[in-house]
Amino acid sequence: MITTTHTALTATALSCALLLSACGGGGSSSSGDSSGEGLSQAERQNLVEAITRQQILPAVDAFHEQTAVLNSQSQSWCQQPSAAGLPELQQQWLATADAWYQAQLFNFGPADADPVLPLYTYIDSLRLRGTDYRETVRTTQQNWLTEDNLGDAFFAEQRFQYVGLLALEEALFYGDNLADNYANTPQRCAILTGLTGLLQQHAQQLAGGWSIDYDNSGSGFDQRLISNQLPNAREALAQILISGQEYLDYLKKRNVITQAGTTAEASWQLVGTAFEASKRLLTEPYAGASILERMQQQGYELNVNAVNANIAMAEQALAERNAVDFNAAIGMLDGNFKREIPVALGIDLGINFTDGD
Amino acid sequence: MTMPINARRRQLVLAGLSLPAMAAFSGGRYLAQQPAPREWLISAQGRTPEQYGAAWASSSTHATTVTGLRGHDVLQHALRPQHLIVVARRPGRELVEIDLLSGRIQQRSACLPHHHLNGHACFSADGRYLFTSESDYQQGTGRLIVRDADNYQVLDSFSSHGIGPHELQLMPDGRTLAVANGGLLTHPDSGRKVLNLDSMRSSLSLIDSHNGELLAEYQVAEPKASIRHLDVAQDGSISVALQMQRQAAEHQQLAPLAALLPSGGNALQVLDTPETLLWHCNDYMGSTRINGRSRLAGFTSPRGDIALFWHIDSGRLAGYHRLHDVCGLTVSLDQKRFILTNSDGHIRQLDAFNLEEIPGSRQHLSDVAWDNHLHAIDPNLAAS
Repeated sequence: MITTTHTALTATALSCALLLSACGGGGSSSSGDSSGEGLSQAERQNLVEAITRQQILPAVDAFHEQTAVLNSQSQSWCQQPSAAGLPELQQQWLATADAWYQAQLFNFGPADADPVLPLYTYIDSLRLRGTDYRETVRTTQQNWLTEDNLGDAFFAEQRFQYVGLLALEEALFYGDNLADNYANTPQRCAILTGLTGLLQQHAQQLAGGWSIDYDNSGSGFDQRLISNQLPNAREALAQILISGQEYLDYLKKRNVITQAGTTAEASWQLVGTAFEASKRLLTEPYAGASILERMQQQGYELNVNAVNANIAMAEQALAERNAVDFNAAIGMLDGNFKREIPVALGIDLGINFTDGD
Repeated sequence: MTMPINARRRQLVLAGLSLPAMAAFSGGRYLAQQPAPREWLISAQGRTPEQYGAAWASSSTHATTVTGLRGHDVLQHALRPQHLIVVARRPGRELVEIDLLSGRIQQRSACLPHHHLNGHACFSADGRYLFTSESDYQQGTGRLIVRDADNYQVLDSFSSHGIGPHELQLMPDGRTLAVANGGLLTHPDSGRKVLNLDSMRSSLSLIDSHNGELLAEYQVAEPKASIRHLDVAQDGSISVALQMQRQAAEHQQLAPLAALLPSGGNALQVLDTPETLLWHCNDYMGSTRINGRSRLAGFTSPRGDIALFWHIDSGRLAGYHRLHDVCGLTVSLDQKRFILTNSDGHIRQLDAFNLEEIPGSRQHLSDVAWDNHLHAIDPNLAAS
């Protein structure tokens, strides 16, 4: 049945479209309106600045520092490889990986400035799609033993699968009589130090992109984030929340517990670190109050309770090393990042992003 | 600013990182009160049910009308070029015609019983008929409904030769309809929930608009990739944007999201995409448009915050532009630009040939949430 009706004027003349006067777009932040729902623009900016200064920059800087230590220790150890010195080196790999699992909570900006060849994949090949390249890394490193020129240029040309934390994990943990093998085969040390040097370079690139020069722009990405001027025009706080959501989604969807750090037997430690970093984002006071406290202040107590329940479930699963429950808990927490948290804070993630057709 | 091309970047052109220029608006006045600019952007818009409607904008002003329904695509009326038609998003059941000059709603037209719209429509070559892609949710079938373009009276109904027909467009022959049968069965009682993920079958169908005859049908290899959006070039090439129904897949392999049926071709050709970019798109392409002049096909992925462009002759990736929640994509009237919009009200314009962002072209309409699709129209000319 066809109905045709004429209706009264319902058009809304929109006056004074506010313009975004500064460079770089900036998402929906330019209106400066006080809609009465969610955080004010000032609160958002203060929150983003505090998160950037208290968690993001320290995390990427710490990762850079750990890679530098790993590189230095590798070079020292390779002067005279010995079984006695190996555990310390292995422990440093673990400290480096641990730092990365805190830093990759913020896997945007310098980490993926180039979406075709993103920097983070050269640090952590697993993060791209959860593909376990362990076997191919082992084969590749075996083949590298016959290479003549294992210099910096050689490693800089390698595909992302063959470098980074996984390659170093295999170099430092895989095989029997490892120290003897290093002592007897100098090429192994060339591989080890080549990989640690490249990882340090990438970590330096990441940290520098955050605080010194992002994508040849002359200023660090931290300034863009704090001033809500992201190149993709996304609101800064939405970017942080989406990044947190994507991290949890990755941990669950790719079952990282069963894939990361398995040769080093560090899987639970790494996912535990990832979870703690995510929890910290929600619970640490930033500019006077945590994200959960701000949700509470906005009157979203049920949302806060839902998040806290999922955090508690994840913590229990971690304590019990129950992978099924842990993945279930972070899956629900992932959902909280998509719905309960942005709703309570008044953050719009985008109608096409969340509800396209 | 275009990023340097080097081997490591696989000769991709990076577009759109230039510093924006200040955009100026007077805003808030209707076309009748303005010296009419030639080019207007039209789209469904709104973040909440209270806001849902249509928006139209020129380089100097913009306006919105509330329709009471969330539209998906918005068309320029072929017979009344200063009017728009808002097509309800599934499972909506109404078409709404709006006069650009006054902002008034001129007509509302509902679907046949047990039918709902799927967000898209197109006109016949002479403008006398309007074709809508609909679902008969009682029968669980896809339908092409033929309406009188003047009063929306239903004149005929054909099978879409699939389930969940979505975007449809007329081919250059003026008779054949290209229809994206998404393959997804839904029912208004269960909202937008997909009811046939196990058995879904998506296809690009070419259908005779005079009698509903299926002339040809094309599929991609991945059975859970839903063909949802398409565009037709003047030479008959068809670009196809896909959405992977990941929850139905038994694997985590990346699925193609962009494909092309070359003019005269007999198979859909998946457009080669670097794994990293494909992953970035998060299983979702929301819109596609072909620029016949530059021979580039654009695709937008709001879940990846990115627009991607391919050469339609070589099939090679030409470049990309990153924009949060980008989905609206169209070609300017002069075909010299691609125009992108997002739900935060941003408008960006890229040179259609080198994909560099055009300096000074940025606009931000903070009170407009551009929805899924965008068109550039001349209100003084009927759409071709």
